[in-house]
Amino acid sequence: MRRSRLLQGLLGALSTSCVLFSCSTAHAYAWMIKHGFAECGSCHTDPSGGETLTHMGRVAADQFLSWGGDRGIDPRAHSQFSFGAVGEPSDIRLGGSYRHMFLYTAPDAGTPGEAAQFPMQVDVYGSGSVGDLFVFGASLGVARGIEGSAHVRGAQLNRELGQGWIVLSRSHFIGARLDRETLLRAGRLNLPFGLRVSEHVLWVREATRTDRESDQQHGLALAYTKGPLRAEGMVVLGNFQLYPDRYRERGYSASAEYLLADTLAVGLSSLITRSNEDRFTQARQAVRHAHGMHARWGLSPLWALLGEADVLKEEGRGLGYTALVQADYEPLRGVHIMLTGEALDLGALDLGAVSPGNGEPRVGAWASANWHFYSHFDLRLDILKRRASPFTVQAQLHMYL
Amino acid sequence: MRPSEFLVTVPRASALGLILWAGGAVLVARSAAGSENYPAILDRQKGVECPRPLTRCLICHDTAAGGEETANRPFALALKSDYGLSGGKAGRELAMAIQALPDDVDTDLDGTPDQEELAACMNPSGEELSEGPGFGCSATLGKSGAAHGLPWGLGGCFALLFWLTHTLRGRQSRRWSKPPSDA
Repeated sequence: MRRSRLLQGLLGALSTSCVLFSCSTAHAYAWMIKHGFAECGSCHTDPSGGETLTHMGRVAADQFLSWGGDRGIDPRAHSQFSFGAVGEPSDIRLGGSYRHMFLYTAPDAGTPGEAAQFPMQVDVYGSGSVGDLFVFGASLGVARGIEGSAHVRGAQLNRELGQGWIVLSRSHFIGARLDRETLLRAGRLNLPFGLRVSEHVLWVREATRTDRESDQQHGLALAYTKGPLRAEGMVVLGNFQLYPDRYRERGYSASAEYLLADTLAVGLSSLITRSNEDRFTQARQAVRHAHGMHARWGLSPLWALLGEADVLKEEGRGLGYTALVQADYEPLRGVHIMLTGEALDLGALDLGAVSPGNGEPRVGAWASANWHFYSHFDLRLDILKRRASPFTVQAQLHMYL
Repeated sequence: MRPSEFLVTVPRASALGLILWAGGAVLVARSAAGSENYPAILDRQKGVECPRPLTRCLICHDTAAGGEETANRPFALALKSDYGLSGGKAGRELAMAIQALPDDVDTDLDGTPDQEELAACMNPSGEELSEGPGFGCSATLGKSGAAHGLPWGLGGCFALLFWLTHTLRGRQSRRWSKPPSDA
């Protein structure tokens, strides 16, 4: 009886979400494939994944993600937006996210150890629909004292120089559902490429410049999901939150994933962009390539494996590559133990000596524990060692609305 | 409980949680400290305030994003080989290396010593750096002379694609719905 009510609730939420928003792809937690959630778009309103949750996403977070949640009972009331304090209008989905990072870098080669703590994310976001046809969405956040950071500033809205408060918008879009399978969107969007994971400092995300932190770009994207296939292609027009125009990249980014079995998906991605001057390296007439493949495999309800390998080519360098393998083990509901291996070689510099990561392979390993200790909350601990880098410990507290 | 019933549930504990979440986020964000700003250390050493500090990351690093194993530019290599910079995250070490750098060292052999180049917001590693990107909203396009708004451009492309797709789909559905002709 309980199961049947739960099933009805889940189906109801799923169908409501599908009507309100296009069901497509998202990989906020790519390992959810082990629970049979291959189309993560059923849990997130943005078909390219992350952030704003659908009603189904709220239910799934409580039933499959959180410590103390139970698949056998009804979802808890506080699993809803704002802990259930404020109801969302029927055609609007809202959310917010706060991540606080504690970082420790161990002493290395005479360099003293360093500890720091800072808020990594203070965002609110939402999306909605107008009738059956149109969708829209946006995120808004703040940050302070980021003058020396090249990454987060890509999402900056105001022209503050970086010492004071800046206002961010990582994504904002309008869209139209062309049919049940196809969603056309215009705006600032996550680039469709590779695994959609929350760890934006993983080399596969950093080296391809396709993270969800601030690598989004303005453009037009077409997302298509039908049966076992899901794909998204984006015409990149540039990041209009930086100027002048010569630093904006133009080109395309595309990704397609095919579900070989209920819990096994393989995908291909490709990206080519060109800018008159690279915003990071100042290389002129900079053409940037990234092409790769990825896979997600839910071995059992306890184990998931993720992998990605990409070939890279940047102006001023030879051919490079980056790769990732991550094993996720969930011994208890809401407790994840993860082991991650990474490799990176950006390619030898045209003018420069060969070094790890620049013509020579650089490898790294992460040991992580992530505890979703309560609905809306999780704690994560990462221990990192990368070749030619000091031993690093990161701890983060994440709360979402 | 049906999912729709969540929307009318307003427990006191949840309201308290929401207030704590919002208040905590703002309070902690106010007290937050960012990571060390190395271009600012260069500026402090020379008593100057150079614009676009991110661009100045390229004095030492291959990329303005910085990071380990990217300090491969000539000035960084010189500081590492001769003036005690280890390559790790150590702002104090960088300041000391700049202090130890003799006034007549000219790494890029451009005729201007490194110390003078740093004081003049120039690049002691080689070719002068461009201004680098500015951050914040801007919808100005290229050198074409005309300034166009991004929203208009995107909106136009979006409308065109939308119209094209709907027209094509309309034709397809008309074709499919056409009754078979009598043989």
